[in-house]
Amino acid sequence: MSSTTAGAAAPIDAARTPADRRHINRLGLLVALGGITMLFAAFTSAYIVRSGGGDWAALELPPVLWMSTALIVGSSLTLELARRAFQRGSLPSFRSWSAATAALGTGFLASQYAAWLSLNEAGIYLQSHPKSSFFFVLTGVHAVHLLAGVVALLALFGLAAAGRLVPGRSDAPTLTAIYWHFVGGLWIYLLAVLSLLG
Amino acid sequence: MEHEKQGFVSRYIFSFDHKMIGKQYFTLAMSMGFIGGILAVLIRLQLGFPSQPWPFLENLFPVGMASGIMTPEFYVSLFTMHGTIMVFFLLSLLPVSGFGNFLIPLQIGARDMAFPFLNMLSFWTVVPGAIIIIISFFVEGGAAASGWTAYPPLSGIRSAIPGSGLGQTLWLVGMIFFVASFTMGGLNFVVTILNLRTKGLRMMRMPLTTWAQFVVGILGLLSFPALAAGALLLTFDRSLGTSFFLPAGIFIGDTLMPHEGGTPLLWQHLFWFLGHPEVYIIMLPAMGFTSDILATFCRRPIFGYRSMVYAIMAIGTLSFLVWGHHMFVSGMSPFLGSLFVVTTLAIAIPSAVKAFNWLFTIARARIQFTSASLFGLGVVSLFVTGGLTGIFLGTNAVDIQLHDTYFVVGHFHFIMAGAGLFGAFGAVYYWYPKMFGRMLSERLGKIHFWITFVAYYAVFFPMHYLGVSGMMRRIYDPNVYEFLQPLQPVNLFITISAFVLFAGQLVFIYNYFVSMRRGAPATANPWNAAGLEWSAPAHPGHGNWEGEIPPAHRWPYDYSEPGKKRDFTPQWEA
Amino acid sequence: MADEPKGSRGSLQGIAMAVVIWAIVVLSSLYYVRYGVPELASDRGYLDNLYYVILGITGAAYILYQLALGYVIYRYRGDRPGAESSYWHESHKLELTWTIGTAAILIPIVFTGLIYWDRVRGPAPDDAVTVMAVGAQFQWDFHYPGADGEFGRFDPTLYAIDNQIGLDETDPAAADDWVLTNQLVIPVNRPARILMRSKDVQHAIFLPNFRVKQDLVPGMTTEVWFTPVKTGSYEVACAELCGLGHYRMRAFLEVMEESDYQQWLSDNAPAAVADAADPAADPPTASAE
Repeated sequence: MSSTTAGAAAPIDAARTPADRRHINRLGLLVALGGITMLFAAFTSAYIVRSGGGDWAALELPPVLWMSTALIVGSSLTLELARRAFQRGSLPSFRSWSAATAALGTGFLASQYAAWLSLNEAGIYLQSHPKSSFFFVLTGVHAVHLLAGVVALLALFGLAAAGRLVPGRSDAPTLTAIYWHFVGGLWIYLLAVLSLLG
Repeated sequence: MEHEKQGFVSRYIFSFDHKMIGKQYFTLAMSMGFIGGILAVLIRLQLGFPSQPWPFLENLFPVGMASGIMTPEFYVSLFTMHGTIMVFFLLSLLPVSGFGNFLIPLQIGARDMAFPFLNMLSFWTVVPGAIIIIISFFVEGGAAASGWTAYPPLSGIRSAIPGSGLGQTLWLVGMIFFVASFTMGGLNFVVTILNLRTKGLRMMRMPLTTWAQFVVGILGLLSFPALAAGALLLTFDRSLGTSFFLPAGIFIGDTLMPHEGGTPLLWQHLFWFLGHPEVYIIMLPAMGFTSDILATFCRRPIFGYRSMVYAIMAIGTLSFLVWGHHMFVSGMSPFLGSLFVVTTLAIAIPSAVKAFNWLFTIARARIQFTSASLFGLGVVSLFVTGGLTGIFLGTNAVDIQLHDTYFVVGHFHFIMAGAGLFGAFGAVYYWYPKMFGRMLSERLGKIHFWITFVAYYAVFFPMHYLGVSGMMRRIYDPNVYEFLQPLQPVNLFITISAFVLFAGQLVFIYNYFVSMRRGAPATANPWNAAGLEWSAPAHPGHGNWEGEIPPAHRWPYDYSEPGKKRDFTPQWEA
Repeated sequence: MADEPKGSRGSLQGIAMAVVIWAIVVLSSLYYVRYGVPELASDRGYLDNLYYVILGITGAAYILYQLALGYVIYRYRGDRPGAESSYWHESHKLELTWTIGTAAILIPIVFTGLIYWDRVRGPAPDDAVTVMAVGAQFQWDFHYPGADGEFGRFDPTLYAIDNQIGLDETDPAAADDWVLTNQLVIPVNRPARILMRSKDVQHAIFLPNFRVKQDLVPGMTTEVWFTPVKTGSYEVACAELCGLGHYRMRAFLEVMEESDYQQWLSDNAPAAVADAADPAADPPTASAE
């Protein structure tokens, strides 16, 4: 057909202006966060229902979780600094703050892993009792989401190295930051559920 | 020819073009639907001729039909996979993923979806899901056999039924792929519709099809994660020894299971929290298609556009509050049951609004009878039939007797499967010229419609008789029960009608594929329709419009406006 | 209107559509009344009445709507002489009418349904005969509590060929308990309360003639009560998919006159008491009588 306007090989950006595109990306991210919220809402409601069961037992949360919490809160702060540095146009500062964020994020994952190990050493496994099952599932699914955030940070490095992060134009740092803060907030929420409910 | 420059792979396989992705979904959904149809024929074969040997079938299914007689476990796998494939891989993929992707940018005046890469990814995520589902038929123990609802413990314990081994694992993996794909799609729909509407296209000027897809996108995003959560927990119960859904004291095959304290009802809550919105994910696009098709071929504006939009929103919202009506006799608290009755029957109100608006669209019309409009009229008829039987089932006191009988099977095959399928057929006949730049054969289309319409009623209406008489669903041989034996003639009648119904679909498949090459070339607007999508060229290329995207000056339903020369005013005309 | 879609104005399609819809309405309705609900043998006739009320309302709506649909298709087919379509597309009065109308019809149905639901699901009367149904792939065991009216404890570790319900015989309450397999016997005109539990997967007890259906859920005890009002032998079905033998998980419900029931109890139950060490051994003989 002669009406073909372009090869299908490259995606067409339907956004009319860069501002449009920025808006679309942000909205897309927020909508995705809505989906993730529903996932954890489903887990939470399952948790509440299951905690009414006769075999529900309390679980001593490993103290290392407080370190996890400190790490993830710290990582949100550093990423916020990175984002602001980027907005000021200071790429070197952006790079070092986001590197710090990636390091703190990885530290969080390591700290979570340490929490699992410490439970295992105490003889508590995934299948030990319902609360331990939920503990491993919730922290595990959360860790996967944080890992996705780390991957996004690494992608940011790649973009920065390739010179494709342009202050004032690229919105990727903000998007990553929104996602990262969300996952951090999600951890606080999960910690509250795990320590306050049942 | 510009497209010769691009490779086959980038054009047909890993395409970013929403239209090609839509068509890829069509091909996938129709293939899966064909398989689901064969499963239905086999189910009916057993119910029409219980345990009769069919030696030639042994060659096809050496285990499931050893010596030509269907085994009970094969029968259970058949209806499990029939439901799974039809609900998810045909009735969700075709109208939502297929038509949603194909139509949304064209109807709102956008060059593509908001996230083309995500769109491609979404398609290539569902493909492995479909393949895994099909492969599960050929593994040890056969495909999943716990119903499409996969209630544990039956689905949770490997020894509970042969299909609960590897087959059920593959089912869960397939569903997780499906959920991932579908939520990506829903995200794309919502963002695209909110952000990429052309100039002048206010939300209240959008076609009802796009309105439906918008609400469907939200429903998918909010409901499917619950299934993902449930599927993950069930996988852990099955493979890693947790007890989310499996209680203590389960004794199967002389073995006491090690689980402790889980609650099977929790799965039902999670499943139906998805499951009921899913019904409307299937239904709403069909309602949208029907509205667009009826307006065009009645040469009349859709009656009560505003109330149609509000009805779509009301149905979408209420669909999250009704899941418990699947669980009236499940052991759930009777008080909760009563709450769900109220929300359930509240859905009847926006549904009735739609039915009456359609009736008043057809009244005072000048109906053109095309294959598309016939299917659209078919939707109206099926929707009312299926909707009314829902009132029996939504009233918990009456549901006690009818729950899990063929009355339910008849009900949802009208309202969800029937209206959904007819809507999709109508949409294919209507938008095919835009999809392939050619017309489908109207003659074959009408043959297809008449066989399908008559056979559909012949198959599914008598199921209400079976249900009222007490016939349970999901039973391999009703003749085990004395009180069901007199119903055998009805079952035989349904079976023969089902064969006819299936044969009728072959006409459609032939028409669909042959017309791609041999159909009469289509003009840009063969139906004289007013919607924005018809302003695009007959076979739009990547980017949809060659020049500027036309703005929307009006709603898409300006037909037979008094004082105009033509009987329609396109949306893009000032 | 020069460029109509080819062949789309032929009167045949419109007339055929109207005639086919009308024919479907007439045939489907005529056949509907030929298939009634199973013969009623319990006090739950009010559920049937509600069913018939809903059938009347929805049946009337079905017939009227489909007849009207056929009529407007016939009346407004495109090729009629002087065909014109109207631009009229909004009427708040009409839309309000059918919105409120539908609600007005539904509200009494909902409330009647809820009242009946409470009646059905309310607590069982004290004089009810109580039996525990134990569902398993693919048989029904009916556990009678015996003269003391108390069910002996069960323990899943005790499930065995000769102890299908896992009765713990060390429990004093179990001494006079006994079990019938695939057969349930209850007296007429006295409320019957069926407690139920499952050994393995979900089942559902379905008594078609009694308008009774209730899921058996592993890990919890569910219950239902009703009053049989007719003697006779009735089929009991499983209505929740429970495995490959789901279709043949059948039992019989025997409803007896009170005097016959007492006679039957004294003929059968004491044997089980005498042989308390093996509570499940006798019932098959009992069912053969």
